[in-house]
Amino acid sequence: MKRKENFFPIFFVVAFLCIIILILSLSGNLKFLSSFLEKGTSAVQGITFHVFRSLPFISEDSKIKDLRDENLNLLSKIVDAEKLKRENQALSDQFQTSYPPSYKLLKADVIGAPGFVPGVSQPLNLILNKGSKDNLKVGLAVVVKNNLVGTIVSVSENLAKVNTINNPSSSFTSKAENGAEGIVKGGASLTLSNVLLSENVKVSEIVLTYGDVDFNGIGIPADLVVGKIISVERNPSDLFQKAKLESFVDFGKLSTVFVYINTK
Amino acid sequence: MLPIFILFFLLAVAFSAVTTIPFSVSFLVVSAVIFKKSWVFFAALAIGLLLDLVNIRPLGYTSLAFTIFVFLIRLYERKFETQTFAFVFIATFLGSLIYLLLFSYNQAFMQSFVNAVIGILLFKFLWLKLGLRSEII
Repeated sequence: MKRKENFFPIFFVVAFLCIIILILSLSGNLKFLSSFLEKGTSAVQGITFHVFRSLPFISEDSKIKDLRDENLNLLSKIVDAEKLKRENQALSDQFQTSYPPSYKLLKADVIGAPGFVPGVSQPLNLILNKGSKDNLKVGLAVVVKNNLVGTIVSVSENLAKVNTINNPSSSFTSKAENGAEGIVKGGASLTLSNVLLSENVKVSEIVLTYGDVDFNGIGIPADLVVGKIISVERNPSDLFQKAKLESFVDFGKLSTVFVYINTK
Repeated sequence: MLPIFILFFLLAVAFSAVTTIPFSVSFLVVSAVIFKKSWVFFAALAIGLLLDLVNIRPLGYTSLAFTIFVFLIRLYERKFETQTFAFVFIATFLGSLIYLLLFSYNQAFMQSFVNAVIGILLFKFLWLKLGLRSEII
């Protein structure tokens, strides 16, 4: 009979190595090494992602893609027009207007969008090929056209991880077109909750971000498109009403996104 | 065996770009069950580091979890027979479930089930490929 191998010493050595690596990594002493290794792994990730996306049963029909792009463009125009209208109103009312903050958009390529069933499940995270060396920070908003995609949740030297707005841990303040304020939460479906019963929220209304940028310019800027209301749940005995939303962005089909960086 | 492992490391990185199913767990379970060698601990360390890199987590976090997981499998095999479909299925399912819950992935039960089935297929494939009959290698 084969003698049983004593694996305890090896286990303790490897576990000790893991703990040392973890401590060094948490204290930031392994940045140079992870930065070096990331270049290789991100290249493999990027190639796989693009090869996978080009598979015939995964890639989107060009006609549908064109229509989707056109739809996003039209939506951008509607939102811009609304914004101009409000600014014009503010000018005529108060003879003053707040200048839009100075934002810069940084282009980033998506190199990973893992979901349960590739090409079918909506990804809850995106991996971008830009990191802290490109001034990306945790909390910055990620957009495509002027549609909110999500926020950055972790950054390394060369990569950044984005929680998409449909991620269950995603939550931010928003407002409907008519001004009704609420909180958009991710999950199985996007939900606009905590909307006062007195507010008149309607189906097909567009929901925009309320704006939640801190003193350092980190956060979600105002007036980014979150999605369209597809159903409203109103119970007279409740304090609040809620609505289900549908984002205009197909997170699984994104290949390029933009990160809002405040240049002030 | 080395080319297979290099290929697997590349696949572990590659698949993490498109799916959240933890194939690494099924690979580690099958390796620990079939080969019963200490190099599986080093494989756990290496795969864990790769996954930490691609998922932007502190290095060593996943490695530690995988190393402890392999240790538990090796402990279990001292008392019980592990080269069975039932063990591979349950170990892969539980390992995947803990991994997915630990790192807050969604649909953890479904993904763990799919991974457990993949684990069984991999186990059967390697078993036939290596022509194993009993505790050898």
